[in-house]
Amino acid sequence: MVHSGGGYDHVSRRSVLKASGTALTVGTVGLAGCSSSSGASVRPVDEDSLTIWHAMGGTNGETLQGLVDQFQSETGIKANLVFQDSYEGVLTNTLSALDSGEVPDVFQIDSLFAQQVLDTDAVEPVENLLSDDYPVDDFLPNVTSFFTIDDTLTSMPFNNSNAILYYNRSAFEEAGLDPDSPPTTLEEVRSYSQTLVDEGVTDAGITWPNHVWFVEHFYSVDGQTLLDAENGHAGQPTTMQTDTETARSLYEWWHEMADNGLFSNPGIEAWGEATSTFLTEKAAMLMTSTASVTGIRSGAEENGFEVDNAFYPTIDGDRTGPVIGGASWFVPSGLPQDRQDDIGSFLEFMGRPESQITWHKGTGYYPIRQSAVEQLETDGWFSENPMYRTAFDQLTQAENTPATKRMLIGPARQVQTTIQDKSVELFSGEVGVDEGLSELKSAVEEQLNRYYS
Amino acid sequence: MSTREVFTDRLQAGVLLLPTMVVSMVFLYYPTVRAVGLSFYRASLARGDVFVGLENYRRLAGSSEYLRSVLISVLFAACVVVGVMAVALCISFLIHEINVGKGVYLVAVIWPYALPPAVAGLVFLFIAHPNIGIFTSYIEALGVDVNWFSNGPQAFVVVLIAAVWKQVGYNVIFMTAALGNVPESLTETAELDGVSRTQRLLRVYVPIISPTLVFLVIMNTIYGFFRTFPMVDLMTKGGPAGATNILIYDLYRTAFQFYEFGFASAKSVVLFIAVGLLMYGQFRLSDKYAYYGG
Repeated sequence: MVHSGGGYDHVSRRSVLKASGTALTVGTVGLAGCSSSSGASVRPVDEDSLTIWHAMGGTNGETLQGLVDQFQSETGIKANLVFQDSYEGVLTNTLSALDSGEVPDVFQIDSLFAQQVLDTDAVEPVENLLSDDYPVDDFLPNVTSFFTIDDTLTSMPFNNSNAILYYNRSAFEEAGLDPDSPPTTLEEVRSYSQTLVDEGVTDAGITWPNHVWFVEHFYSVDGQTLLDAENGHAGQPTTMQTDTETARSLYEWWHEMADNGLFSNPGIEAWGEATSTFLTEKAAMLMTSTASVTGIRSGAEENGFEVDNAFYPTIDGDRTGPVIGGASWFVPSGLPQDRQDDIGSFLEFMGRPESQITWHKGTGYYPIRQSAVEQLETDGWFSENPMYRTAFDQLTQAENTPATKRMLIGPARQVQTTIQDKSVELFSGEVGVDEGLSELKSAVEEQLNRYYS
Repeated sequence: MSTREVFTDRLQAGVLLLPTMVVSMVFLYYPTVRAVGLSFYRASLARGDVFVGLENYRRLAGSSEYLRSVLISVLFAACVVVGVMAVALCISFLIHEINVGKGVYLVAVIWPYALPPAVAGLVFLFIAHPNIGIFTSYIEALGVDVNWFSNGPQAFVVVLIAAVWKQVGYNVIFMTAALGNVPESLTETAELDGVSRTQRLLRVYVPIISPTLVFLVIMNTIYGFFRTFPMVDLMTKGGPAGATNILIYDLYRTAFQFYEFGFASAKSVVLFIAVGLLMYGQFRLSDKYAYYGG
């Protein structure tokens, strides 16, 4: 977009006009072509091979490729993994694909965006593709309950996790805290943080990325739904539950933590920065995904400290359970039967216990089949890896209530952004808790209302 | 510049213009027209488009969030233009005056401009990151609490500094070249008359290079409104609490994160018109004050 005008030795009025005119127009292009009418027949991106769009980078991507290679050699069905950079990338490309009719056979959708994809009415419930004797009831109920809508398994759970508390045992010891009794409530997180900072052990007590998932966790651990209509699982929600003790306690605490320098703010959706803050020992506690166990353990080793993990802290001691995060496999509707059979084989392969064990060991995501868990138990995997044990216990000890089912809404990205943005205002003290929460409520209501109207 | 009629044959002229015309049509004018059309629809991917008339524009007019975004963008662009040009003018003047190592200084100044915007944004993020930034501890040693992930005004300033840092090089290229074209005799006359350095810059050089400056004001305005997007995206994501939510970022978020393409199109049309008007105003002003030598 940079135009050098008419050369700098003689800048004429005309060359100035020309350059700026071109540059200006660019602002409006890029949007067109984003919308078109659909209705065309559905056809696969690649006739000769299954196309799978996913968002697993790095070692997770390599583990996935390994599984797909194994699937190909066992079944003779060709399958092509296409990395789409991020969940947002998969979502955007999937929505455009469903719009155009030229579709991938399988796509990995973040649980947060599940409803948005379902709202296209262009996806096939995966239950219809699995063979009749496929043991759906062997899946962990806490996992499948989210993905089951109207008693139908709409998508195939695959990479799932919760949030959990990691802490620096060495720092705890240095500050005179007992590393065997990590904090369990907000109040304890605060007092532990205060001690750590007062003793000069770390700059801050705790950190976590500003992502809506953590707000969802605080609610679910406290047994509260974030939105009405059972977080969207029992109809279209209309509001966010902010007039609650849960919300007030959470944000008052968060603000106090930030105000006293006990919470280190890594930024919005800043997963990597939060982990670095913890690994470089600028904060002694971190809340992040259970799928990070392996990375955090090796990171702590490199930085010369001992790490451990504990259940997600509760608001006031009562614990219901965490919400599920991560993604599942969706399948477009309208593909020919033989194609659907191949896709069914793929899903069954990814869900079988052996694949789940490989996947869990390679990535840290939960094995989602009970028989896989039993196998890992027999092999002594959990006693060798106690941090996985804690993560897994947190999931299995959870009650299965509407609160532990994550929000399921169409305008998820809007609501997510609104909550995250407003959280910054709230914890930084730019608005008071009562005022901020009521602003948050009306902003979320507006988003929900617009989408569903 | 006086012979306009180079081609007497219209056909020949047309053929030569054709490639440019086609590219402009396909990649600029057609999408622009489509975007205007789309702004009258409620359009989101895979859920069908519904004609809603002026609803998107009404929603914009009634949105306090959008109004805030407009104010922030205007303030941001103004600060970028003034900041970039003030810094660039000082540096260019120093480079113009110095006799030894001109090239080295020039390269040093242009360096940030040579970086791709996304890289520049990331580099700056890790220079100034509140927790793990390279310079953060030094700045904090001066008594500043670096907290721009939570503090709105601080975030605005940090992104502004990044934006200025990135664009100064571009301005220096043009300004040093323009200064190099100022006749030596003028400098000598001014020196003989005992005009101070600052006066020489402001009273002699600036008026002479005013066409270049007008060009730069316009390019910097465009930069401030549109091309600072990667920095906002990589450093603040429009936050905290909308403090750096400039129009172009807001537009991107509406379109590519919220998939509200109709609404986003309306925003792009408004932005297009607003910046267009602003430039028209700048041209009118420049006609009055810039010296084109003729």
